[in-house]
Amino acid sequence: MIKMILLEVKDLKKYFPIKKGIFGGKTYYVRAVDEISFDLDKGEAVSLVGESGSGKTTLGKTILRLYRPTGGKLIFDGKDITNLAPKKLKWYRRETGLVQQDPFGAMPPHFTIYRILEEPLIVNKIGDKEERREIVHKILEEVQLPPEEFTFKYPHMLSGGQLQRIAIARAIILEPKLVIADEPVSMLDASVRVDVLNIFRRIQEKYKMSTVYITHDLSTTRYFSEKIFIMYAGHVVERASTQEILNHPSHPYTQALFEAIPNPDPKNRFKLREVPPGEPPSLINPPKGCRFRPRCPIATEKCEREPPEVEISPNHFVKCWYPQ
Amino acid sequence: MSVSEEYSLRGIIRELLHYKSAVIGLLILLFLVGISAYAIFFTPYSKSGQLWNEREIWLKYPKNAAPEWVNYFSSKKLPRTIFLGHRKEGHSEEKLRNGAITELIYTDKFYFDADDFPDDIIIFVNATYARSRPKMEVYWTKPSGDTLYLGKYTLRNGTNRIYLTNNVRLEGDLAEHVIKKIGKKPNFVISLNRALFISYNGKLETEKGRYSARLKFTLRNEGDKVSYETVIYGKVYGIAGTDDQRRPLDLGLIWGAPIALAFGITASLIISFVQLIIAAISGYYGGRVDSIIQRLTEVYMILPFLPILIMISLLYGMSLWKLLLMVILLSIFGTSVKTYRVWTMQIKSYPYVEAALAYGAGNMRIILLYIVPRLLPPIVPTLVLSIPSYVFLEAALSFLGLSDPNVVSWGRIVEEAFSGGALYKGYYHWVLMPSIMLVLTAISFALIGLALDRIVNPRLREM
Repeated sequence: MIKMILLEVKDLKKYFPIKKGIFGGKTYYVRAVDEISFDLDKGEAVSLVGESGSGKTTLGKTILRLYRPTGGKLIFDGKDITNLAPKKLKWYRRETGLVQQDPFGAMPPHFTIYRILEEPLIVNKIGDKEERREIVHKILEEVQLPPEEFTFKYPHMLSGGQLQRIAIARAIILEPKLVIADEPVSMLDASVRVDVLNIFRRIQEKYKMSTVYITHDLSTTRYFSEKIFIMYAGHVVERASTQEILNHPSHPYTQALFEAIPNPDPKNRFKLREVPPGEPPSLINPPKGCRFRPRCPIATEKCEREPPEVEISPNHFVKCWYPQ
Repeated sequence: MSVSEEYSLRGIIRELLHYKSAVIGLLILLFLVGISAYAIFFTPYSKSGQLWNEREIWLKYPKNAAPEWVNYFSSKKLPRTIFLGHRKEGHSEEKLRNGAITELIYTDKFYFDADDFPDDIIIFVNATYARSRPKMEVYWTKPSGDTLYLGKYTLRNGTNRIYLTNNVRLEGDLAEHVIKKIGKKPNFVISLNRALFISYNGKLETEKGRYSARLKFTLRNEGDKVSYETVIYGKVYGIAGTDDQRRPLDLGLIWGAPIALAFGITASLIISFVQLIIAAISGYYGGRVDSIIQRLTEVYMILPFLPILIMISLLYGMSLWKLLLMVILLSIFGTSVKTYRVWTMQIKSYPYVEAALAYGAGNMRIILLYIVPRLLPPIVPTLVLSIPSYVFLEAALSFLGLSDPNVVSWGRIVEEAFSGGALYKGYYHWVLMPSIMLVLTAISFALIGLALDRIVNPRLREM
């Protein structure tokens, strides 16, 4: 089967300027996303894993063109959307969906659930009133919320899990080709996380949507995605299929992440966990060469040069001088 | 102030009724709206201003009369206005014919029991005649039986106004008569209106009892006609008294109500909403738009509001609605723009705005449907509280003589009282009544606004 590429990300950069001094002075940049490249196939689910501040959310929002890229290229369905003006992006808004982290803040509190779900349809001029009603009801059933019970409620009357399901419903109501889910379950109670993820996964498979699942929690990725991208300090340091990464983590950072996952095995009780010392680097002034170098246990002088991205096995890319 | 609490406007109104102060405020407001509706319904405002400037139509009202309720607080009872004439109580007619000459004798009996003297007496006579002018003789009988002859007057065609009390010769004659009756020269001036009502006990007191006024008309031609009305002007009138142009203040206050409410509410609503939208645009777009709006606001903040308004009014002599427009234009970049801008920036950072961007909502849609509705509940108290300040502004501008001469407003009545020397001459009601209306308006909106503030800002509730 030939896979169709939906989204091509080439050397994508997003720098945020920081002005210092009141008279202009020197402008510094936070390099939140720095030269990231990957392809996303149609219908493919990808997990983007990294710790706080590694630029995962920025990457997500830049892909959605909520941010204007500083450099690189974004090609969606064969069309270059890197520098399109907001007015020319209307079609792209229809093709993409966003699920945010905070379900409570993600809903305009003065709208009813029905209105919240109808808004994307109104904005994109889809259907008349009656058709929109049908779409909203269908989508509510899709996320397993009975429409007659929820349409006239306000967001504050719903629980976090229910709200996140509404957020998913809103993201997919336009039947987009690409959905970016930015830590969709990290603010939810542990008890409802699996439910929400299962609903999301089922819808994603049913509608064959490409999905970028942004998370810092490696343990949920295996339920969700075919591929995992590991991000560190604005770089994607390793990308491969979920199975491959879980079995052969090759970047020292990935390995450290796996080390950090608690394993409830009595044999491990005396094992001292090796966690890389230090903190993620400042993105204003990142270290030369490999950004993981200051914390890397196997770093050498060679690592002061930018590491190449090597394919150590088919479709397993590692950005490291010494892939394991 | 935080904008995180959620309120629907309907919920706010429901909760408002739990506050006694708000209910009182609403009742006062209801009263003001009621009289405004009455005023608009019976006299459109363009007409009321015209009527107010008319002199003739107020002729039958007393001059500088105090409100009637003054009598409840004073041991000295002030007289009301008494109307005598055809079809009035105590009226009787006699007709004597002598060839072509007809003599009509009209007698009006009335009861007078006030402690103070009436002001003026005017006889309004309508006469139509063919050749010779009709004559009128006036006789005045006091309760004691003393009859005074008040002179003979020749009538003209049409309406004659006989100012009895302006007759200087008659005044002298009557004063002499009174001195003779008393027996010595009293230590007060005997003016005509006093002579007609004074008791002969040597003190400045009225004689109480049944008076009668007799008018004898002599008509010389067949078919000549006369009709008359005698007005004995009192010193109290209505619930608000009258001014020096005999205009009843209660009418002025009623006519002023819709103007005050319209001016205050329109100014407050438009200014608040325009400020809100400007602030939302400023806070939402940020960058250069924000800088321009903020600098403009700062310039506006140091502009001397009142002097500019006075200058423009003096140069162009503005009507009330142009004045309103000027007030609005001079206020839309007010200080509140800064406050609302900060709230906008807070709301703008909520994820739902980003979500709206992600599904393609336009900027104006986000401002108007996602941000402005969230700012509305917290500004409602401010909006309500600022209504009286605009009512006062209108009054203040009127007081400074910048009012629209074709509009009756409370401020204009105060201004007329001031220039009429009301306080100097002791006509306190003239200043008091419009001021009471202004204060009532302020109290009404203040009570409602403060209750709203407590609802929208629950943290203030217990403090």
